[in-house]
Amino acid sequence: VARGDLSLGKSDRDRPDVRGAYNDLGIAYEHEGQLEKARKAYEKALDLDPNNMQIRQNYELFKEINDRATEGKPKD
Amino acid sequence: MTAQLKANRRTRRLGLVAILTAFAGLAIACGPDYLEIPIETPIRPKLDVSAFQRVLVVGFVAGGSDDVDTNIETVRLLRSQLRTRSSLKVIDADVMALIDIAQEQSKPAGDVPAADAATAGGGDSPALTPAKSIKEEKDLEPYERLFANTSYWKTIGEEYQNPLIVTGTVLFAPKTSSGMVNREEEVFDSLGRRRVIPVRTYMERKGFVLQPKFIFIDGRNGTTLHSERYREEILYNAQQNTPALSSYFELMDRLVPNFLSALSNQKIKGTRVLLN
Repeated sequence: VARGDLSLGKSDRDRPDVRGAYNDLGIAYEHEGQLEKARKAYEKALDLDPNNMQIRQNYELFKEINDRATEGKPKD
Repeated sequence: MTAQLKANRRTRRLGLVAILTAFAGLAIACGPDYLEIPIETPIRPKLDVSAFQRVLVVGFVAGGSDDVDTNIETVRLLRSQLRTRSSLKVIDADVMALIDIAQEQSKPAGDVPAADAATAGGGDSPALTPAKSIKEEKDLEPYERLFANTSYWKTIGEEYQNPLIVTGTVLFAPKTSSGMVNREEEVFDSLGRRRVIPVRTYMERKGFVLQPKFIFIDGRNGTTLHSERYREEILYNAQQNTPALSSYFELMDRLVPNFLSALSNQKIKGTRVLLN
């Protein structure tokens, strides 16, 4: 996860630190401006822990910014 | 240049790693398994404006409230924001009264194809005549023709040496609303401890709605590069008397980052919850 690898082994799915790591990775990518990678990381974190309010809150705030950044963007 | 960019990114990344590590350490030391941290999300501009050195905020078709000159205020505000928060040189020119210009252009019938005229207003020809007094959103529709008039914008572009032209429509109108609203109430228990609880109450409220549409035009050829619409509203307690101009600025404050993000790199400040 620290290397930004979003693939996950079966045994890792139940580890809370892994779920948290994806959330934190999402924050790091967001801070870097890598919005697509941030989205994938947040979605992975939510996929592993759909009821986690903190992850959901981060994802909602991220989506608001991501929508603003991509809304009406002209095609190159 | 690329090396410098890479170095900057690396510095930034190391900075973030240091911040995350420090916060994570603090979280472990303090006990809770999550921590709220401030972050800044950089957003790349929606438009490539590298071909332009200058920007002309020409004016807006504006209306809604008589208490604010929405055209003048919007031009002033956007010019001032662009001066400080974009790399483009802002052209100081007289603010154009686009309503008058559109009225003038609507006089000769030969300018607009008959087919367009029939479809634009859903066959209702009076709706296509630009209304001098703009009170609601539908009054703005006939003015779309002005923004699509590439030869007109090309002429303006030539006059100011081919800048990026910013124009559009702005509706700033009063609004009233009544119904149940959520508010927070302070309560104290028997031990004197303060708590804030949500309460639903019926309220009559009044305020304003701001609906701008920003249009970015290429001054070299008069074509529209990009346009975007926004809607923000603010409501106060009916007894509260808030000046229209301060409401206008409060609503524009919310929209300006969106406007600027079309032209230049922006950083959106916020907080996120760190888990590990």
